[in-house]
Amino acid sequence: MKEIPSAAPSTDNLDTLALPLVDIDQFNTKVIGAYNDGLDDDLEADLDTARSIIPAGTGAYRDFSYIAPEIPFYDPANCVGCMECVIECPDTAILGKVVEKDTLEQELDSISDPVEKAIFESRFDETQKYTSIYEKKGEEGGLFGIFIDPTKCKGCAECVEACGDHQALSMIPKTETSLDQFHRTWNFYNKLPDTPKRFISERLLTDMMLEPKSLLYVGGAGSCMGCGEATALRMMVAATGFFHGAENMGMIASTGCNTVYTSTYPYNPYVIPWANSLFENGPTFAMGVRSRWDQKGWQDKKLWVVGGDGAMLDIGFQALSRMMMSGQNVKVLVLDTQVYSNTGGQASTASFMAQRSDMADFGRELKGKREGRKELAQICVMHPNVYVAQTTCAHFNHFYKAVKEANEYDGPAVIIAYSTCQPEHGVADNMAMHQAKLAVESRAFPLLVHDPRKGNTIKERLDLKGNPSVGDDWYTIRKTGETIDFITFARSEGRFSKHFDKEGNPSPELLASQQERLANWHMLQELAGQENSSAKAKSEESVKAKSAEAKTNGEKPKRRFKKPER
Amino acid sequence: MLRKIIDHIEYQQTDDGWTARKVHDDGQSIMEHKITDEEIESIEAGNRPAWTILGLPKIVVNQEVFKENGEL
Repeated sequence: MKEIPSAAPSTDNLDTLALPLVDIDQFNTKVIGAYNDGLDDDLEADLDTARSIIPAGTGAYRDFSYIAPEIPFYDPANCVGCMECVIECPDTAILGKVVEKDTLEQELDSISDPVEKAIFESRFDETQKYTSIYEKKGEEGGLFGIFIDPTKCKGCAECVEACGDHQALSMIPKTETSLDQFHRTWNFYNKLPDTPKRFISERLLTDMMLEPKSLLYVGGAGSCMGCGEATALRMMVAATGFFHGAENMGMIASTGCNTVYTSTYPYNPYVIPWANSLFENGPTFAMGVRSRWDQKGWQDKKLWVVGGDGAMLDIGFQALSRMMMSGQNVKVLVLDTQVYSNTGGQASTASFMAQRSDMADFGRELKGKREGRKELAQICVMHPNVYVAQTTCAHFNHFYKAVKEANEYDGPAVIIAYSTCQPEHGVADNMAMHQAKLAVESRAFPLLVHDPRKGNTIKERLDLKGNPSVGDDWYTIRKTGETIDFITFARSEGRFSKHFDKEGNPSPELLASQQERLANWHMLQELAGQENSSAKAKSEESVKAKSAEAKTNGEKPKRRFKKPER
Repeated sequence: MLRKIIDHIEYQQTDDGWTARKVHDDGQSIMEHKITDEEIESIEAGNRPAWTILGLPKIVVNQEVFKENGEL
């Protein structure tokens, strides 16, 4: 009798698979070279292409120098070394470095061109953070500098927005001469030694991108200018790499924008292993990888699954729910753009009520999305023993802390990151951070952390820290008296623009959406045991009014407790 | 919110000493650049301020164009 071959290939030889799977040197010269020279049509089909393998970090070879007309202009005298520009850049196009004075002098001595020398020297300055604080402790202080990689910068100006009132960054039109100088300065940055360890504090999460082991997303991805998703991906891999090392992490990506721009052949911005199968099965795929890793004794390796709101809230929700119930040690990053960004902007269950999108357009009959927003965070909290965080890249300490805690948690963890999608939200390229902040301030997207290690009740586990005026309905800016509500947020984005009349009055549908957001906020307050000052005031008013009414009617005030029985 | 694009750097001698401002293309003048005596001496000697050599913005000194955009 003929033996029927097993449907599943044997896994016995997995560890003896011929490595490397791809000839990296050949790939980098032949394939990348052909693409960079515009000769990709001349490439022959080969085994590497057939395997759909792209080596790690090939995005580093992609050159965006001629995409944008402007590039960031840095004024070291105004820089305080906060690193916010470095954190928020979606393309790893701006990096910081601390050097010791002697080291810089030695490097500068080897440069003969006086102009070059002047440029390089001028990039560094003293800051309180890296210079005077150290000097006060009797140690040698360092010099801090910010450097732009012109091959990675797409000119979104997010870094300028992040710099804000420090005003150390502006944009400047590129010229042939200046572009050449930017290239040479970037090469100088790469020649300098890494930031000495003594200047990088593990407690100061904002500094982790000074450490090369955090720079696991090298840029060169095909994401839109200023993409909020790309920043979230960079920050997640940075925080994981910083605490656990690049060799101890892997990633599964659900199909979506994130897989398209990070694998636009032949460019891969990640220097960690990652794989993509389908839209809907990221968590399922991860469960398989986790099982195999655990079989191999790799329990300490961190496995992340990435996907958009379409992949995690809609089409792949079942896979996510199943993974959470499995209790497996898998971490999830949801890039919540509130829309199917990759396929042209269809409504998802994460879209806000009244938000205009494909499949939920604004017209005579329909005024944007009718349903409320599905709150994945609350659903995840109801799965037993799942670490959950809702955060944004603009709240970088909150974000980094969530990734750190998720990695430390021995079980499933889900981090939902608000991700600005410029074309679908109708905001400018430099507004990712600004809009994410506004989303939190307006209760459109509250920050939260649910840590099962904190206690047995939801009240003990759920933390709303980081939201402004956490006990109130809405946040009011003390200085100006302006109240930031959902209408304020909606007014700043193109996706809600049709809900405002010529005088700027919001539509009834948008007002209903505001009520829906407030109800969501009240639910979170209640779950977290957070007293709401407005509700308390209303309740007290109501008691007073009833009492006054009773007096007017000549009634005796009702007893508020039962008379004890004898 | 518009992107902030540098139009020129303006150095001005006043009764209280020198000031330096970054001026954006929308005419908005932003925070003064911190200046040192060495920087002024260097400008008076005809040199472009060191911190502007990367990027080469237009430099205006006492309302006169001192260096054009892109000029070393």
